[in-house]
Amino acid sequence: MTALSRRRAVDHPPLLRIVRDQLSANRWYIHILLWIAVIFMGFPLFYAALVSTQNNAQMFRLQMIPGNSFSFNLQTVLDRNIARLMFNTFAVATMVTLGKVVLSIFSGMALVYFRFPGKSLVFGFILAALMVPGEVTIIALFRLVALELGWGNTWTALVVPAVASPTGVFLFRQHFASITPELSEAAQLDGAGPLQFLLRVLLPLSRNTVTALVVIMFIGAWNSYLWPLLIVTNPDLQVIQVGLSTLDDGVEIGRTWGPIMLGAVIASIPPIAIFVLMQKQFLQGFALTRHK
Amino acid sequence: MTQKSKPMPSAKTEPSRWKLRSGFVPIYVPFLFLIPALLLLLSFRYIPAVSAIFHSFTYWNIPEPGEFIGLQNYQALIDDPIFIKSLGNILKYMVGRTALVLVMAFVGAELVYNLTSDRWRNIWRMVFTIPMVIPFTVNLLVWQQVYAGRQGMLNEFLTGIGAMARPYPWLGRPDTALPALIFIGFPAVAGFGFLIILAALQNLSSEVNDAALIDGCSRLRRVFAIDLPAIRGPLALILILSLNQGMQEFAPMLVMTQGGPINTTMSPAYYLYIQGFTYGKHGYASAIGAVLMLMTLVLSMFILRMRYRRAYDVAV
Repeated sequence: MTALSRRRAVDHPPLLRIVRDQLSANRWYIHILLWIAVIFMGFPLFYAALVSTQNNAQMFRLQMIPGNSFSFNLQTVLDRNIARLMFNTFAVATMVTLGKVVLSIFSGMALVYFRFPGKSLVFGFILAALMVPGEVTIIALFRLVALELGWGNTWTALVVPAVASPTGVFLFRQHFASITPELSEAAQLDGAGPLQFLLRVLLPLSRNTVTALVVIMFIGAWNSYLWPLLIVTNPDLQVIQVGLSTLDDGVEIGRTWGPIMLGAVIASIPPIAIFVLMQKQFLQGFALTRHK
Repeated sequence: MTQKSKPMPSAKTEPSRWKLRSGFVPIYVPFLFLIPALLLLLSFRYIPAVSAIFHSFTYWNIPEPGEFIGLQNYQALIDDPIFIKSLGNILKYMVGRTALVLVMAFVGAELVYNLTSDRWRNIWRMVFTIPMVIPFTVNLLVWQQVYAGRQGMLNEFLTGIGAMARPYPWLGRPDTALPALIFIGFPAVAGFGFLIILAALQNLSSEVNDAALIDGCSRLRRVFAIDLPAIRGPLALILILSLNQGMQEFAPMLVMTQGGPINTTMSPAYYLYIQGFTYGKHGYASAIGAVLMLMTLVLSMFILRMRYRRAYDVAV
């Protein structure tokens, strides 16, 4: 990333320096330790990929080479409509991310570039929402959404409560506040309205922040589990995280692990791909959200 | 990318606003911008929180509306041996998990930090970030296989190297179930703790390290004498965030043990889930939620105070 790397000292006695550089050139022992950690960490996932090619008999033998059931497993998950589950998750995560970002940009801008009565009150209201722990109010939220609003088994129930997040508003407020005020002055002198300023000046300037937050919000939304588990019972509307355990072929007694693990592998591909492709943005978004 | 000392904009440095006079921008425009977000926050954050606290004093089983019963739910909670047990369990879980995550993240970050090439450092950082984006349901599914009694990976490994004579049902015995949940994802190097610590280490001034090196300070000694004290802010942050997260943990219990055996892995948040969604006792569950909320708020206050005192700076 930035130039945070450590500098080497330059004024050592030559002999000492040579010895030190020799010893530390590669620090091979660190690499070995790290590799051990990766093998430990990576083995379960490698194993999931392995099982996704096997049948139950091969899996219970702990066979460490790919089995011959990949196409069967693939057929099973396709029959169990994994495409639908993946599409649902993708659609819901996209809507959540889009909703969050758009709302946050507008409210962040209002908090920085307008003068209106009760502003600090509004900001305090948003800040305080950061303190309300979401998980422990889940019963009340469930009753509100399912019983009073009657949104049970709809995407509305998956998307709208998730969009209600103070984090984005706060982050965009901070971001806009850090942009030099001369820009808005210039825009006003040139006769630009707030919307024009937002679209022509603010957004192009904030491209990095927006992308970073989009990446982190999307991955977060993709991985959500508890809320969909509670509010959606219709398999046609369900998301992949909850649907994984239904990918069983339903024939054998007990679970058939091959299809389930294949589903698990497929469910992990989008977030990993996004992370690998947009590493920088992910790390930046992570730093932002941890900073709130 | 460092976010260190970005000052909160004060009134003096604020950008000049669109004036609300001379008909340039009507007064309702900022509210138009804000109202969707505010309405959503009100409806889906504040109202459920208030409703949860209010209904913790009511008898609120489906489908009846709440009936005020004073402190009876809380009374029942104190007398509920399972709830009391879940508090003890979650305390053990929080402490165990936090210790594991903190130590391993620190070790991992130190190792990567001590690499000499920037390229490798970035590669390793990327590798150790990937587990953060993998859905935890996937992780839990796989770890179910690791701990399985028959043909579980851990059992096969241990009997294979002769450390154990018989396979052991790790999740099925009261004495090992909770530790097994703590060790999910072992070696637990990767995650937000690793990223924060590594970033903090990379922000340390190189002069201090060079000076220590010239003075003949060994690398291991430097870790304890220089690095550890220098990054105590970020370490404290991770400590509290991890405790906070552990307090509300329920997914491993839900997916892997259902609170068993004999409630040794019951956590308050999972108990809330069971009472609310299995038994439909929404008032009682709300009381559990209120207790949890109180405990989380206490921890959150710590976080806020640390932030206020700038006890940490985080950049990645």
